[in-house]
Amino acid sequence: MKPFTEDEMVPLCVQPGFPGAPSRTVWHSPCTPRENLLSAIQAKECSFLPNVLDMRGINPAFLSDNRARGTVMDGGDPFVPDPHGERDAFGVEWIYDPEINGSMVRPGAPLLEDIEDWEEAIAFPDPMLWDWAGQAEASRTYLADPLYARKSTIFTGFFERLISFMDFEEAAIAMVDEDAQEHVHALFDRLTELYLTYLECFKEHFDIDILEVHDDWGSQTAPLLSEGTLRETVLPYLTRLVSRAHDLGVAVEFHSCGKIECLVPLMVEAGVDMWMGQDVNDKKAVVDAWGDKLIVEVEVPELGEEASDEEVWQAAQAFADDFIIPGKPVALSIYSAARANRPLLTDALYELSRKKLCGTAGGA
Amino acid sequence: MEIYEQISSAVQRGKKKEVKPLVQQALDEGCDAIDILNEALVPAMSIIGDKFSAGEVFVPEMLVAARAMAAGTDILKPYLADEGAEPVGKAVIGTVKGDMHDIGKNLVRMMIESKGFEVTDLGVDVAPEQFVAFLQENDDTDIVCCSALLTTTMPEIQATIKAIEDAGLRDTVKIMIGGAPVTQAFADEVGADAYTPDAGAASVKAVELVSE
Repeated sequence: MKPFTEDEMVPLCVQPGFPGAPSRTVWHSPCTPRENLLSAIQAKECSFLPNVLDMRGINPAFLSDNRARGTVMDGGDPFVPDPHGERDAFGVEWIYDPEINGSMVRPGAPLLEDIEDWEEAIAFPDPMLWDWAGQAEASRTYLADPLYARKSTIFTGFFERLISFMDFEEAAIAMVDEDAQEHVHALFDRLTELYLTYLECFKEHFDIDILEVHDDWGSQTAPLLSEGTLRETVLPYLTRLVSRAHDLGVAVEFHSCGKIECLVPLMVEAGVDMWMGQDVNDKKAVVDAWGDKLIVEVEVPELGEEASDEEVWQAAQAFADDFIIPGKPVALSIYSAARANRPLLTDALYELSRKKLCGTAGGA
Repeated sequence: MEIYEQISSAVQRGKKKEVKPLVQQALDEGCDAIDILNEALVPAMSIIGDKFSAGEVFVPEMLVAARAMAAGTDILKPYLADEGAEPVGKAVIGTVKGDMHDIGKNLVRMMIESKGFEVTDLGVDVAPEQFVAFLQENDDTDIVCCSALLTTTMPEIQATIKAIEDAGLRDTVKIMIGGAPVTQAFADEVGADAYTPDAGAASVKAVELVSE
């Protein structure tokens, strides 16, 4: 890998940040952010600290899960969900809350009351009826930027989807009820078929590099489900999805909210490439234990925009000491990208990571 | 008694189909309904609640145990009424105004019910005046439980407590609060009587509050 030189600290472009958060400079690096991120995923080698901003989402509006969850991204005008509710691809109504940039199913009217009835109660969408080619053409310029990796998301993974069908309590019970197991497996098997179709369409039409699978396994304090339950009910299907993604040359980023660091081994077992988790987890411990198996998305501290240069550089150095480890690449998380910090922090992290991972020209 | 141990075991394992005949068997053998409740069903859920707080069991296991206990108490209800059994206390619960999250609230309701409380669930998006109206119509209520999952709806907890104060009802009830962003410091700041981090701990605290 090419050593760091001062000459590369010339901005190639500046990515605007989230509201209230800093912009991010893309430098004249030895490789693009996309190449760097994909190398980190595939070879566990990178030239500088990857960042989730290295990925560009393509989540079309015709996949109505994206409308329901307020996550449409296609290079066009921003989509604002109807505050009274949007229906997902199965007809389940979600309420979007702009304050938290998230959605939840309107409780109390589940589509499915008894898991045994899933085949009659649930109408699966047919993705082949959607205008994938038309969307690819409409988003052609947006997708063509070579700087960024392309990512599509399956919002509402297996457990989340069951919750969306049954409401939380009945879904949670179904996950452990012996009498329900046969039906849970049959439903998840059918969901896997659907998600494989999504994946193949994402790849064919958008040429994605990364598939995000979104499934919440935890609360703020603990997993919602035991490792044993997840191993029995979800792991076989997640593994199938990841395996097919890898066959297509697509990496898999897994999102789960909650304190679920103890479930990272399950993700590794499934073959997941990146984990987007919340900062309630002990990320340092996860990186130390599993950083050579998957990319952990980690947080920088929030220093505020008033922090001095010295404070910023000290924080960057502390981060580099903890997380810039050859062979165990991490990525700056979405939560990092949303924190109120000076742009200097990500600039400093770039420079420090370049030097630590690749050395400095001239051997300094 | 062996039958109580069998009932307790079945509840802890969430075996609703085992609990029903065992409870009926205990009644047929001459056990008092109140004893079956207090020596088999309630202790079983206490064990599950403690294991949940300790991270040894998870939400589904707690839910199936609560469901199994409910199957047992359904059989006991007519006998408990005949024996003149009173609930341990009465509570009202709801997620505060603007907040639609009900998972934690429902778990707390179930765990408090499992301690022998009579609980009225006002649901989600409950305005302060709805809590007040309930208390005015039900002056034997011991505990108000309110939760918020969002930092944006946490102020509604404070608004609820203030509304109860303004209605002159603050001294008649204990107020418990909870939810992901809620902390003991917040509880102290807004003048709640108790904060608990999970449903198992909430049920223990509820019993403590009515025992004071």
